[in-house]
Amino acid sequence: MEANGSDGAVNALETEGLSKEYVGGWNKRIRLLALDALTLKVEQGQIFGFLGPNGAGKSTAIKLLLGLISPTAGSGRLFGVSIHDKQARERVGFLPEDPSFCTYLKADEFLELCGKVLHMDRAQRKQRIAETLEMVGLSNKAGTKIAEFSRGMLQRIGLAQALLNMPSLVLLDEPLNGLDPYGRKELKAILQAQKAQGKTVFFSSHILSDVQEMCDQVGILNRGRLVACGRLKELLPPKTVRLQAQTLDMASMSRLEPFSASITREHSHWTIQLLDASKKDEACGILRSQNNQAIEVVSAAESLEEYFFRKIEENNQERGFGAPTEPVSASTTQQASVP
Amino acid sequence: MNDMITICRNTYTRVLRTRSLYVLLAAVLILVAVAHLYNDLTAGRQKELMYDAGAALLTIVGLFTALVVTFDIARDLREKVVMTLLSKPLGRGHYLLGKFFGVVWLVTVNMVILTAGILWILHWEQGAWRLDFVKLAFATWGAMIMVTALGVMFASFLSELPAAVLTMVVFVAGHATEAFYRAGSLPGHFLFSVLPGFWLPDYKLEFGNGVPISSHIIILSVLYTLAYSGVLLSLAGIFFHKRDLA
Repeated sequence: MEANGSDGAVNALETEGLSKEYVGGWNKRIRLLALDALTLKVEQGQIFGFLGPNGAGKSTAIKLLLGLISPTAGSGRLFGVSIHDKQARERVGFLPEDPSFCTYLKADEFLELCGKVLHMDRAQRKQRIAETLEMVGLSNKAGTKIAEFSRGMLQRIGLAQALLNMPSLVLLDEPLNGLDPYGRKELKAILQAQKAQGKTVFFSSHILSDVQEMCDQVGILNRGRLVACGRLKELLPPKTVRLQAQTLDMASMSRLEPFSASITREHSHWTIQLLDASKKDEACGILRSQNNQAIEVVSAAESLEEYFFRKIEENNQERGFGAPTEPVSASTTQQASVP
Repeated sequence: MNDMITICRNTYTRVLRTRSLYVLLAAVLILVAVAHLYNDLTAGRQKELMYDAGAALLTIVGLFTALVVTFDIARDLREKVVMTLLSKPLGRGHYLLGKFFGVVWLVTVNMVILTAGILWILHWEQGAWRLDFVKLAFATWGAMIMVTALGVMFASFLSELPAAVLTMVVFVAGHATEAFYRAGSLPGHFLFSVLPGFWLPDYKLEFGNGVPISSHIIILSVLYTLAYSGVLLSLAGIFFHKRDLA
């Protein structure tokens, strides 16, 4: 059965109760639930950020999707094909966390090997190897042994092999690790370009500011459980603006109504809740026309970092795991006077 | 099939870049070549010594080359090469078979070089071609295929060191399975049935003492090693399929 996204297209990635429990010890008494019933859907053409503290189960989930480890329960599909079927991986590119690859090969030899495994013909391989090396900024290192590569260069060659066959879905495990600011900027541009081409990007990261900047959707894992998932716009609503005024006549009220969520009288002043923060100047202009000293009250939106810590803390408390390791920042309220 | 050939060629290329193998190969040829210097130590039996040394060193080189597979698979796992390759549409069975054939390829090349070298040295020293050495080398090659398959099987679920040690232990024990059988006990019969019979393709004693062995026997011995290797590779496939590549 193929599950479809909102536009009727098959989901790029889908899991249903996907779980992984590691069992260890001679009497199998040591049990670690690395992933607990992960149910997730990622539509095509999205950039999905997979977040969570260390050991939350992000890499486990990615390895399960690629069939590198076997689930103890649940199922998963890539473009509607079961993750147990090797055909599911035909349209997928993958970059593992902290890779080292075939250190005895040169960069182009390694990509040649990957191209062969991807069943690309000779001409395709030649073209794509040159293109991907150029894309990741390693075209001058094609003949260099991978053993001589720095960590950042390893990430780049890893990205090159992941994008070699122009996959429809790119799974990246901590792709920003080891990259300098220039490398991060370039990687973000590459991932945005993938999205522009209609490709789906699914990546795990600890760098929340980058995730917030790039992603359409995020999922937050904590101790194996998905604690939040959705579009960033929905999880982090845009900042809202309220205006306060001493006086408001009927004409001004009717002019303000189209872009106001509510207009209420509170004691000696009026409060106008705007639907859209960008209409602030226009609304202030209307109020000033009545000689009002308008007071703007801006409620700042929660950042992804703040949201992340809040969800992790809530989940830890719900499950009785105690205090979070990181401080939790509360959302802030700013006040400013508009002349 | 193409996937398997790709992995096979890659494995061969990788192992070919192992410098220690060249050193070993050169050392062996030198050892055989200088065997005539032992004339005084062997009371005039340097011809037999050269033959025996050649046969024994052929086994040692074959064994070391075959054991490379256990380290190679483990290294692929450690460097996450396996994850990268198996995240592509490459079957685990094809990966393992590619590794096996890559190492078998190198074992074959090494043994052909060594056999040709030893034959030439024997001819140079003794003035005659000892073609029975080719039969011996062929039987040893069969044994080394079995060692490679054994290495693949152990590497499919163990890390490099236990896999290499166990391969060696089974190689040694496999030479004694006939003795286990003759002991007559139930465990002895069990070990005889289960362990690979490395004594079967081992004709060093016979050839070294000039006992003629027919080609049919040699071929049957090698067929046994191939069949047993098939079983070992099937087991390796089952173990590796179940293994979590975490």
